[in-house]
Amino acid sequence: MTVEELFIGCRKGKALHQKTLVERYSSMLFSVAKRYTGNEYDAQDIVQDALVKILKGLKNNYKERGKPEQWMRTITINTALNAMDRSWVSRETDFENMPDVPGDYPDAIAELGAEELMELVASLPDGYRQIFNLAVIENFSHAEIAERLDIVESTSRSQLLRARKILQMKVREQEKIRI
Amino acid sequence: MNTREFDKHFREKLGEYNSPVDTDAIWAGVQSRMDSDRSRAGFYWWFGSLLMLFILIGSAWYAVTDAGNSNALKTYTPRYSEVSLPLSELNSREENSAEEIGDNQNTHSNFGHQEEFPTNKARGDGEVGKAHQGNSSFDEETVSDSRNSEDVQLAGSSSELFTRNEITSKEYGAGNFKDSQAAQGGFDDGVAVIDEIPISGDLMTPIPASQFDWESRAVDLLENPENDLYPSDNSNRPEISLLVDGGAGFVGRQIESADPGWNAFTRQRLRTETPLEFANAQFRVSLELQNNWYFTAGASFTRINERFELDRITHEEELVTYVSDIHIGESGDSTLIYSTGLVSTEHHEQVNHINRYTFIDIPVTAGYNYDLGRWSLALEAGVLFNVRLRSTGSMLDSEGVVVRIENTNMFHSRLGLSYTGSVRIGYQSGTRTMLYIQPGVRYMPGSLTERGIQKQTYALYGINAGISYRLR
Repeated sequence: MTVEELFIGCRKGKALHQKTLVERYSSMLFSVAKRYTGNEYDAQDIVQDALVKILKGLKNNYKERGKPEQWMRTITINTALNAMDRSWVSRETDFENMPDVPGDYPDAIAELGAEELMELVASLPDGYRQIFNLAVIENFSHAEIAERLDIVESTSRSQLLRARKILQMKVREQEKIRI
Repeated sequence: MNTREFDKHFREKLGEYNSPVDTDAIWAGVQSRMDSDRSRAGFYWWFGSLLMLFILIGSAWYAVTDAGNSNALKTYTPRYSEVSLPLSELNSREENSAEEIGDNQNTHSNFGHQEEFPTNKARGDGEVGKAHQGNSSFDEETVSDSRNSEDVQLAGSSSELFTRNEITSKEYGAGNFKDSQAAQGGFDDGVAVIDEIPISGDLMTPIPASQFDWESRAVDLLENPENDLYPSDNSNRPEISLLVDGGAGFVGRQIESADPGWNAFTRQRLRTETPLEFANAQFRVSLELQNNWYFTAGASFTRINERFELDRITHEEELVTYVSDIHIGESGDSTLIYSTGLVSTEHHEQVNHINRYTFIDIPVTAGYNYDLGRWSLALEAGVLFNVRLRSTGSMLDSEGVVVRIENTNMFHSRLGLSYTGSVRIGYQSGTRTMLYIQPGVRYMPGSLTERGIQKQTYALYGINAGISYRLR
């Protein structure tokens, strides 16, 4: 069954199609949610919320909304961003105490698998993690991130920079452990 | 490794990564949430309906019981102006034989409060005499008992009673009792004291002056005097009226995204759609109680118009060939050099449509009417149960393409509850007809569109004009 056929069935409210859609895409959407929440428990909650929105949205007006997978990912990302604590905007803008790290990014990153990278991203503070995901994985511009998170562009830039530095440090640490 | 390569590793490995997850648990959670949403929506609907029903029944019950109490015990308004004859005329008749009437009347009366007594015709005619015999010293706050009196000559004493200065025409008029409660002191100035009125036997038939034959002194006793003489006793029953009105006004619209992902979609709708006006017409039945509370219910039709306007810019590109150079040889021959170029033309196309949102509702309202003679002022509030919503027209979809609203499946077919508040200014143009204008506001908290995408709500500010016809 193609995704379009699934969507048509869901639009008609058919439970079989809804269940198939959930089974087929919950894993993908769970990864997206986990990247933003940093933990599985919250991610599961977000995915369920997002899937409810998707199924409701399908009953109304899907055909106007672009590629199916991307649309579902967008819904999940928005759900995650809305659900997450936004107090980091004021909490995590103090970068003075960040240690200096060497400019080069470690080559060891190439040897890390997806699950390990996921753990690294999950270990970032909330704000860094959100901006890193939006900028690096989703490829959003800083202007788009600023609009979506209701922050100024400079905050987005600086937090992305710091997120990269933290990841850089963590990769180096892992590299040392391996050696 | 540079930043771009560093990011690329994350993007490639995490972008398409699927974490293992318990899909059964996810599906169970999704089902549970959808069921919960459905039951919550149903609960709100039924709770709202029940609440309104209770409020309406409660208000009606309160109003009815309050009306009954007030009529029985508090206010008694004379309804026969002829009862209130001038004292001079009443006094001129005081020497009329009390026997003639007094005897007749007395067969029906064993009570003795002169203020509750049939007044003008009775005074001096024996009715009063009989009624007040034994109690010639009238006191407004005293209740007399004439049950055992036999001396009709004491009717004369009634003349004293009724020529007292403190007895007013209003009191005469109010003297017509209408039931045992009235006889016990349901007097509008409150002078009668219930505890002091010994009542026994039948009460005297109340007779207005118009029914009294002054020549024969005969009283045509009616079989059912309560109803025949006091048809306005029906005043305790509610008045039923038909109201037809129509109106128009301006529209306050709010569209907002429930989800930031739809912000751009919302902005482009706000940019291209302009609320214009609304018009409505309604037919209602009104039930007005004697205590001035009223309730209406009926059917209402409302249409909201909005303008969809889009300055559509299209570019037309055309490949053209032109002479780019001319070479003239030594012999005078010329060579033309041709080139091709792309010419782009910008076309502006103005798209202009009217969008229509049509509502069919059942309005249920309650109000309070202040009677100001021929004029009246009423405050009214209530709810409208939407039974049908139809949305037609054009809009931009999330991709910026012009689509028909009715094809999007984005709009609901019912709205739920709306709330209304208004002031009705009425003018009594006839015995049964009233012309009125009614400025008011209607607020629709329910979204016309799926809330998960956009919340589209309205407030309507307008004025209606109509006519009311009283059936009873």
